[in-house]
Amino acid sequence: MVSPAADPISLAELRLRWLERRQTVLAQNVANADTPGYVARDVSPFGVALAASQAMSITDPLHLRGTGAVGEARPRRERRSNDIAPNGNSVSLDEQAMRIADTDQAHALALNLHRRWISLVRSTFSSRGV
Amino acid sequence: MNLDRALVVSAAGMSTQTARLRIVAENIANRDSTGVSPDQDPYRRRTITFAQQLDRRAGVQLPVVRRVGTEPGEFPLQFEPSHPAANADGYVRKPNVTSLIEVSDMREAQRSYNANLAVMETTRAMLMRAIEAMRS
Repeated sequence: MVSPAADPISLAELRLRWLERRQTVLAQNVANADTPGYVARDVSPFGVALAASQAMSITDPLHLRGTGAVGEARPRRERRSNDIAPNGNSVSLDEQAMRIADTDQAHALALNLHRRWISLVRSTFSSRGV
Repeated sequence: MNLDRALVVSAAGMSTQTARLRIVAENIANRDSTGVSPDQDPYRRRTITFAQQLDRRAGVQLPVVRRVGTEPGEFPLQFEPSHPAANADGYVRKPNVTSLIEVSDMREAQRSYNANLAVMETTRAMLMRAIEAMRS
């Protein structure tokens, strides 16, 4: 079985899926910025999620296959106690804004990688076809 | 699709902040609404509380309005003997609305609303970029 991130296109796709998931979690944090008792969440870092998706190696046909579902990374509550509002809410809007900007930038980068790689593959076809 | 869920949760955040702003507007508009007779209560300040609720279909925690209640507490007295609602000593019970609290609540609602709007714009930019990638 080919590792899910063997080629740049698959890697970019995994990254995009992870970024979309993260954007959803961050949007949830901002939307709940005034909900009492809400604890800010974030998904696990991409490196960890990627390693988890590749962790199961298959040496026997009866083994269960890893799903490789980076996009389904579960959001985890963050354990920080420095800035919790009196109502138990731990969302800091400034920090969420930073992370959203980060996600946006990474999304543009991953999408560019995806596009460049596809045009590279396409150019090999066109040079052969002449 | 994940980005759609991000839009749904941002929209829910904006609608709860709108509900909050409506309550603030109601409080400020009624800050001088006294009773017409001494035994009638003046306007009582309304409060709004939020809660998180799991949307099972989208798999996200949506903020929702939990309860619109009223603030207990004493009504401040104001000396105004000519007022129809004045008691035997000439004091009128005024609504328990404090402008400063309402204005700061309004500012917070506005800030949260803007934050949700900014997230929505970013999500939309990501979606548009993905659609653009399909075109090339």
